Amino acid sequence: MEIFRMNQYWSLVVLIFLSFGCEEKTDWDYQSGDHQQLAITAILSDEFKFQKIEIFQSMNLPSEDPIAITNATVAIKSMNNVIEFIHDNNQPGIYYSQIAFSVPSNINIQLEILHEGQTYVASTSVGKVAPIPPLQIGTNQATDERFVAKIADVYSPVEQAMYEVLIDWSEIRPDTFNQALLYAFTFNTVDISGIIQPNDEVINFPVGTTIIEKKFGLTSDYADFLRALAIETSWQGGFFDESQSSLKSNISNNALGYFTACQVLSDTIIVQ
Amino acid sequence: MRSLFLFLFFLLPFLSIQAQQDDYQITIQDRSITLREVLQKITEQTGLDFSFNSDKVNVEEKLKIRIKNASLDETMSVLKNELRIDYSIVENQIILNLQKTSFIDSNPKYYTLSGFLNDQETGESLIGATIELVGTSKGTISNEFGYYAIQLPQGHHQISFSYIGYQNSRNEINLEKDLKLNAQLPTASISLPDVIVGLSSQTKLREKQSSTLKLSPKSLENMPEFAGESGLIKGIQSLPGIKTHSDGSAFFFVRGGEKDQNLIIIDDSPVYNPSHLFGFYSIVVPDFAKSINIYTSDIPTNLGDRLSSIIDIRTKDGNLNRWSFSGALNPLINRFALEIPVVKEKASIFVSTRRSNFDWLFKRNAPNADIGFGDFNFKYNHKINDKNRIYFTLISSSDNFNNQGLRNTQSSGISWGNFGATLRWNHIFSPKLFSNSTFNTGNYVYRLFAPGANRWESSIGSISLKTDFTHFLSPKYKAKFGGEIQTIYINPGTISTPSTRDLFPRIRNNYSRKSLLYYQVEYALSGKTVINAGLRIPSWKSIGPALYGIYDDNYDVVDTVRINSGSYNNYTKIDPRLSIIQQLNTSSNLKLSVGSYHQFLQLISNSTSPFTALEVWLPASPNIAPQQSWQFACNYYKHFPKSNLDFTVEAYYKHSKNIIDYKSHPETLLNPFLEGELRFGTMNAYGLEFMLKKELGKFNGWMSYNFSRAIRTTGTINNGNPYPAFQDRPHDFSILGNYQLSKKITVSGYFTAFTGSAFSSPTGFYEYNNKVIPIFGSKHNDRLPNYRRFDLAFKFRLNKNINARYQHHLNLSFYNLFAHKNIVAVNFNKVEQEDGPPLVKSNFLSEQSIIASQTSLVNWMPSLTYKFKL
Repeated sequence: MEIFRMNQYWSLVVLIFLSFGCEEKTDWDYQSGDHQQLAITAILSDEFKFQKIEIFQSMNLPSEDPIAITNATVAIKSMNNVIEFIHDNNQPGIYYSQIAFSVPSNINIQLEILHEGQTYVASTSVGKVAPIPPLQIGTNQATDERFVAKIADVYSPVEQAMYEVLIDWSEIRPDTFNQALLYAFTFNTVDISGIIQPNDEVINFPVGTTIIEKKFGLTSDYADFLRALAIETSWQGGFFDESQSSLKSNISNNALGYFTACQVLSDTIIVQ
Repeated sequence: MRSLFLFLFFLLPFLSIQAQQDDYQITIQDRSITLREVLQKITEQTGLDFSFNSDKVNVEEKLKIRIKNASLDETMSVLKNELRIDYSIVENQIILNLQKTSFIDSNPKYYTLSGFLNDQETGESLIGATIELVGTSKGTISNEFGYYAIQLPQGHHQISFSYIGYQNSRNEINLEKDLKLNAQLPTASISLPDVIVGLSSQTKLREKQSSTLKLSPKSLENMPEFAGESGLIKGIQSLPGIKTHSDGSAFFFVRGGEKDQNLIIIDDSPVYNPSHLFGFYSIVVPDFAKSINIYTSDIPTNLGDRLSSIIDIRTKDGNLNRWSFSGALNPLINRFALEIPVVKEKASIFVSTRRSNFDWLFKRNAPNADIGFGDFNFKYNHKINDKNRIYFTLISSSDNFNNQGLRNTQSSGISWGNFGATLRWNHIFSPKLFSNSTFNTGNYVYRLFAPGANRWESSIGSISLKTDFTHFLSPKYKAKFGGEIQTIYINPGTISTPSTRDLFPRIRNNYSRKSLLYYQVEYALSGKTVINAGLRIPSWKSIGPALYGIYDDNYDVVDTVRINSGSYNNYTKIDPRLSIIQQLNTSSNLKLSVGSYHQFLQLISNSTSPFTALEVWLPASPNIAPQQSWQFACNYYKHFPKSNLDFTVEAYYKHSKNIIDYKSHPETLLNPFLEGELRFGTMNAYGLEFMLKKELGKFNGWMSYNFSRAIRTTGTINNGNPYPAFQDRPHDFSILGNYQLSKKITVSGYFTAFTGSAFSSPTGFYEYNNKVIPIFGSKHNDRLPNYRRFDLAFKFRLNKNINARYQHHLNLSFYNLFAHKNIVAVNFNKVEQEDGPPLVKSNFLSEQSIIASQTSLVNWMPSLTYKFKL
């Protein structure tokens, strides 16, 4: 969708504003919310594997390490099938399914978590995925390194998707920080903060780097959640910010996070 | 802010007392006293003697007067009203004369005195000039075309014409029939004493009856500039009750209202986006404006369609007597104005143009960029005869931010522009009946375009026909009435693209028709009490073709309604307005007002940005009820003649309903069912505004302080609890001072400070899929840091002879001289960088923690401008 491929233009707009102002770190005096809520990341997929669910407690500050929830009872249900998830003691807060499985499409799945006498439930269907668009790699002329120029269009009228891009150059430069994980989204809605996104970190990597790109198909509800997540995170902090508010979870009992299932496509690229 | 508050309250009484000390303090409190005794007491307390003809002035006449700590002017005005004696002060003597009007019989015949007031040099009509019957409280002010009419009893009268910055003019008339009297006032030379260019207390009180904030383009010129211009928006943002969004923003908030509740009209043409360069500049070219009236309460019934304010800008007609050329040159912006008398004293043209000059600034970093904005304004006025005059005004502004493609074939960028054309016809049916008919058309278009002819576009346009009548019914009654028919067209944002694979939701245009009737009467109950009462009856119809949704309680579309043609929805509202002005004494008055207001157009934007983004307008429709507010205001005004100080305090309370807020993370662009994203609630705003102003003298300026609150309640937002609006800023202080250092150098300083805006800050965080997500508590639980800014400007007159034909001067301004970082946004999603500003985290395997970061704009900005006039 060419209409929103306007990075050159927007860099000019940013240039204008940077000529006048500046952004810097601040020691913000956060107001205490005392939330103490469960934060659940439950993204199941149609990949045949041990599926993963993460459960942590919310934090007061963004720099805090979240407290892992290690004693919850976690299960998913579909029709008459129940699959339990077991806590991995080597990775606090992470629960893996007892068996490897793939989530079939066209079914409804329920999540049930029991923790300290409270029950947290959610249900979802499976989001369908369309083919992965080609990843665009740019070249840093000064260092001859490469960077990800574009993962996908922000807008598509026909599909909604999440992209997870794992960049690994550990085999080429094992002695430096050598891995990166990027996210991108495609939605069927148009947001000014999505069109004019704030500047983010540019990850440079050498030729020969391995990139594993995964595309997750989204249900309409999960796309709404991720759109809100993008507005609150990667699209926040530009010149056209929107009024902020909490994300709406589909998990009951005031839990945070989201339970969903996605069809996933994967592609591996060796950067030339 | 607390210290500021204390400072203000210590300073205000001090200034008030200081002003009174400049004057005499006269106290006479006898219940029964002769005029002789009164005069003796005045002499004792002032040292001034009286001179009068004892055959004509009966000094043994018994009086009942109570005067306490009054100025000489106030005291003499009381006597003037009680005894019908006129007075003048010559050296140290007060000379008393019987007023000529005292000889008229008890049942006199009345005639109408009417005419136009103009600048003697340029022929420009003078708006809001005062016409007074000398020695009485009778008088009126000229309207927006410089026309006045007043009914006076048959006989001899002395008429005074006055206007600030001009020499007063007095004319003796013998009124035996309706009389037309045009007056040309000479501008006051700077070397003349202030008393000549200043206005009397009575005149000041008359001006204050209109309940407007006036901002003269001249005072704008004196304000420190930002990047070459002082600008309208920055000027009005310094007035009490009007709050800026932040640095570099064209948005402003009036008395707690939202940013779309202010209407700017230039010669009756509405302006939907008054900003250039995202808000750093205003589209109103200072050279083009003649008068700027800001209505924040008691808005006349002929104006409306917004809940919070009307900014009524009248442009210059053009010099009727001689050619004139002026301009301003700045490294960032240039502007020129040309005035041509087409037919001397009958017809003239005013042309002004402005163009930004940023290319040199960005050429190195962005060689393919075309960044800039421009304006073109044109006005033609023609006096056809004594009874008819026409005006044609054209305003056009555009912003373009293009980036040319590598092969110079394709470009991407945004552009926006305003266009307005207005034809007005003044017709004087009789000296008592003045009319102005206006035909206006205009639009505002916002485009976002990319290579391949892809384009997102939103627009709003209107065609309007209206007629306003002013009927000077009798000495006590003046009526204004009229009507308007307006058709409004809105494109709420559509995409056009040549590609067949692109599927976008179809966004339909909106068509609406407004018809309006209004009637307002001004009734002078007595010499000291004036009542203004009026009704405004707008009717708003939605016009087909249209498609709108039916929503359930969860705001989900359950059905749609298709309208092929004709009107399908009607809101007819009645807005009563009433004000009572009570003159307390010769230098102060009290005004109470109440009014109802409706607004049928709303700007849909969930953006917190200070800059104009891709906002769209939506009309009132079956799913959007018109916004409505009631405002109650109480205004006290006091003029200190000796020190030439004006003190105003106004308290207000405003209750508004159907005010728009949004559900969490609304979809406001390319959404055919946008109404489902909106939430409607109420707003309660109240406040107390103080202003102390000195218009004349070597040192002049103003100081204002507001205490105000704006609290919203919107359905289930914030769990149904009230929350402060973004613009809720309890304390707001500003002071502007101009001081003439020498005949050639004037220095101006402007300081402002206010409470930071309310916003939502996180009260917790959680991790989801490697991302740190903020958790928000109650809406707008936090505030941005307090705002503070000091601007300084020096104005150097370069021509030696003050009356020289070629006048030129140099303005050197420093915006935010102390480089105070005024925060416009705080973010909670970025990571620190070693060699640059924080950036949004993109590598989610990195262990770098999210930090809080804050953004400030315009930390310091010098500006040098050369201005000339030929």
